[in-house]
Amino acid sequence: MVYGNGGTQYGFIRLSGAEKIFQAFNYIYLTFLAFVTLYPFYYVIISSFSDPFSVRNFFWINELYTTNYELVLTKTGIGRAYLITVLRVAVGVPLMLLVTGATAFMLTRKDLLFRTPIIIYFLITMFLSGGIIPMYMVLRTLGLLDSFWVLVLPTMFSVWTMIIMKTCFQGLPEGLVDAGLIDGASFITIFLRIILPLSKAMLAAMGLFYAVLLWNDWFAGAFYIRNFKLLPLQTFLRIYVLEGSALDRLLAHKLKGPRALDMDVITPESLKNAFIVVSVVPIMAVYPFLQRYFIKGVLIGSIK
Amino acid sequence: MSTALEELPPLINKNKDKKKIWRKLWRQRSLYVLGLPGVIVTFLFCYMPIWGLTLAFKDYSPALGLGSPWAENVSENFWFFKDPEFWYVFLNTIKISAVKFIFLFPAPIILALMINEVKVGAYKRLVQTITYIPHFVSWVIISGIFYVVFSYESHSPVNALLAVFGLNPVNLMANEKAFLPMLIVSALVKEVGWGTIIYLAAISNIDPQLYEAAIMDGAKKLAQTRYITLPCILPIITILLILRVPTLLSAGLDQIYNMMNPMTLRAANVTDIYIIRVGLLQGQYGYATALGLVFGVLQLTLALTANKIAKGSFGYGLW
Repeated sequence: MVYGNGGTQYGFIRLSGAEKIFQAFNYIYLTFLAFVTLYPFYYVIISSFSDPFSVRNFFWINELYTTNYELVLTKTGIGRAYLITVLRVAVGVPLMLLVTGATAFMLTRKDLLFRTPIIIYFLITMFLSGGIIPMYMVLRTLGLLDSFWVLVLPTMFSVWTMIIMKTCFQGLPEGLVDAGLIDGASFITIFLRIILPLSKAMLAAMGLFYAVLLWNDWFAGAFYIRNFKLLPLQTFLRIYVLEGSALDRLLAHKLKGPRALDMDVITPESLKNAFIVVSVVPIMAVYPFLQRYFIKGVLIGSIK
Repeated sequence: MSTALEELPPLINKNKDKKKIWRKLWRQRSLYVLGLPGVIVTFLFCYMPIWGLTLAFKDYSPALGLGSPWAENVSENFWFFKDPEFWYVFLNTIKISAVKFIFLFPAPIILALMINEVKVGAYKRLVQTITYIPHFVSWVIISGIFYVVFSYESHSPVNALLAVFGLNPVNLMANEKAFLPMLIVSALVKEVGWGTIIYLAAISNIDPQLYEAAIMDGAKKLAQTRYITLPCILPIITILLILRVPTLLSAGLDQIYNMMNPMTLRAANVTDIYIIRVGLLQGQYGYATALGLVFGVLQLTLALTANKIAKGSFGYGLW
């Protein structure tokens, strides 16, 4: 009785037999997809509450076994890794928004001297890039290796994000900036007091995306940091959950010294599950509330 | 007289202009202050590494790092044409990228079409939320989950299922041949849901009157999709297609590095992994940088070519 691809209704056209089958098939398939996506998470959760040596039940918990969590939460230093990651996001996101936003705002002014060369300066970096090894070399030269700042600084500015921000700023009423200028405010004041507060939605979306990026990044910690105390969460997880590939072991020995991987033990698999759960829970808990912003962010980005 | 007069103004204007420029600069100084951090950061982390590419032409010495002397024999670092592993890595990367692309590009489109068919609002949102979540979980965790579910030594549900049918347990994660399929499945789980956002938005923008007209003409479901939906979202598909092509040469380091293990290393050997091994591990920084340079140039060429082709056949490209 429905009908129309756009999800709107048109009168009362009856579904034909074939179309009914199609609808049924559609629902079945989508449910199957959702199940397949969810079941592995679910299994990991129940497995983490199970005794590693008992017979495993795949759909429910046989006997609640919390030792896994005791171990993971108290003995492994995961707390520090969490702290580092939280700090990383707390410092990195505002930094990114401010720096990228400020540059974006600067470029919205068409009367800026040297505007074109500056734009070219940034555009070039979208096509040319040094690569892994040169970046490592540069970080070494700058003394950033093995410091907290290597987790925050290199990714702080992104031309792509700047372009999106610039477009959004240009969408604001023109008179605003001029009014500020007339009142004698410097551009900095205008940026901080007028532009930023008015762009909250866009900043929230961009900030959220970047937060997820930072939260999930394992690469910087794996290759640029030797000090265990500075490892962010995902890098920390790699060591325990993925046990490292041959590359990891070699890399660890090379960069961190032969005693590095004392964690060279095989992690019992239920411990691994507990690790996974402990890392994913924050995201799962927070995500439903933020989904709106993420989707908006994608659409903003795609329009550009 | 007139010529003299004509000569005079330009001279004076030049001075005036110069002064004007300085004054303008001074008035806009806060603007430059705003942009300064961005410029500095870009210089440090984008331009300096580009300069670092010259390492490919140098004789690397650990003490001097970037300041190493220029290589006497430049081709020293470029011997990868003779290195069999180079060609293997190159082809392997293209193979993985191509196969991934074939499966991963159409999937969100199809899923978007299916989700669009769902009439029950709550169910639709539920499915969307569930399929969006994996996008936000890191590859470390998804790989971890895949290991738990698929590998042998764990109490793997997959093996339990196989046991029900009387089949032997398998360890899919340690199986070289299964590596590519595992990559595809995990990439699908992670990205297909999120990829539908853009397509769903595009589909919802289609003018309903088109559908009305088609239904009047007696078009059924399939015909509607073929003649209305798909053509209307074709521009988006094209743009996304073009955007995807340049990534052909980087088969997804994040995913591959986390999904691989010593058993599947051969199958997982792609350009970035090769560079990391040779460079950070074996210390052949010069060679590794040269590799990176070559792959980078190839990637750029791909991007430009793709854009040219798109302009030719579809009339519009990225720029």
